[in-house]
Amino acid sequence: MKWIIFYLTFIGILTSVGQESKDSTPKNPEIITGARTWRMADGSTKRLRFTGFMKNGDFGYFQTGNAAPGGKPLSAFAAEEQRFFAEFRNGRFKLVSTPGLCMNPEFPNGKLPDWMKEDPQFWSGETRTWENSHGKRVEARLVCLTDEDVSLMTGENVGRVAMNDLSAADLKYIVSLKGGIERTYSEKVTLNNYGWDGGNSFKIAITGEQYAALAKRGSQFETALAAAIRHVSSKLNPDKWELASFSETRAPIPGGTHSFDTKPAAPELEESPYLYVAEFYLKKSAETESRQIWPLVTTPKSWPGEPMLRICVMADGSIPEVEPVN
Amino acid sequence: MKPLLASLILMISWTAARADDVVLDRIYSGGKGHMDFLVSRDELRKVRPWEPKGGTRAPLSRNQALEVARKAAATEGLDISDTSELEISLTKTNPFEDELIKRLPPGCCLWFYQIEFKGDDSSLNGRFTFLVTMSGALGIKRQERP
Repeated sequence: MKWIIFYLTFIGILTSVGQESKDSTPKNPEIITGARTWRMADGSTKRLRFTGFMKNGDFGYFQTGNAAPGGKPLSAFAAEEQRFFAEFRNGRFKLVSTPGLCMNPEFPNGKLPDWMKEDPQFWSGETRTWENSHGKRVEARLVCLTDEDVSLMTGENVGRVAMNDLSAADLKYIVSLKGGIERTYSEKVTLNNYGWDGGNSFKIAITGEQYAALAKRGSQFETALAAAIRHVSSKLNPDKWELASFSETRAPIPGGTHSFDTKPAAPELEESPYLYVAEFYLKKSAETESRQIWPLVTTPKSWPGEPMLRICVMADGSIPEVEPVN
Repeated sequence: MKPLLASLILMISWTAARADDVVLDRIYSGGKGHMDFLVSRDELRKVRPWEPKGGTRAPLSRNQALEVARKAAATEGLDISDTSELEISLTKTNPFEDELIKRLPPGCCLWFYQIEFKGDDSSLNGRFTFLVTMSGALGIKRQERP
């Protein structure tokens, strides 16, 4: 009997060892931005963002500051980083796939200079209440995330807060953000820029919340077409126009000025709203009237061809506001 | 191999065009000629005139047209994934193309869907366009060189 128990125990140990070796690839890899301080082989440190291995396995892509990621030899990194590369290859880590999340390793600190205020990167994160480990609270926008710290913007100032200074709730939020459960969207997302030759230029912009909600709706071609026809019919007599075409495309993914700062690991996973554009031929007699109703989206006086009207529609049938572009 | 197959299909499509076919759409490619999309008059006569202005639904939905285009793309050996970027347009023959307009049969539906697949895949060669009539027929492509 003892021998049987011993034999079964021995078989059990062997089986569990076998399973362990089979499951050496972690089931839940740790999600990282890859942006942090890296130790180099010569003893120095550098703030870099690792974005993947090059085809030649001896090199990796690393982002430095505002520059696009470039190749660096892995041999330039310290021994502990070599262990990281080996673990990364084994699936222990996975890079963030959250679209629109800035992971610039050297995001600027301090008061925003005027010329930087228009940079969409400063308006792309979520504003929420952050709490440090001492209980101090601050309402701030997350503008950049690395593996070591967060860059938070209050008013026109950006400050870097280390991860170990954040509360448990904040850290939980960051884990959700890195896992794609929480998302970042710009305060305003430009969906379409258009300009008439020799005339007005305009853009269609919606809020980040609208963008996220519309992305979930999918294609609503027939709904949007009916909305475009209703919209124009309600303002201009149907005898005065003809539909020329009605097109459906996907809106671009929001991001900062430097798209490589926010490029997710899997951009194809990003959902974006469907954008519809209805183009109408106008009768010559309706041109002025149309220009009064829709000054930006009607062809300008200088337009050499047949007068036209261009209306954008979203998947929920709403007609987004049109803004002039200088 | 894929470009050869595509050329072969284009040649077969070309020979499939008949005298009774009309050009429903013409896409110009800046000095490099144009691509015609041909449909038979009989096919066009299958669907009654429909105008979006009337507010009624199109005889063929966007999803039905996309399915026809996807099948055609698969037949041509194109690798189009479900997430491929695409542009779908509901349009009709350019009213300023007088030569084309006067050959079109009266009393039929001249609206059609133009479906363009886009992608990084080199086999897509940048852009691939399909024309689907309101009766669900596929326009036959004919490349015309200058």
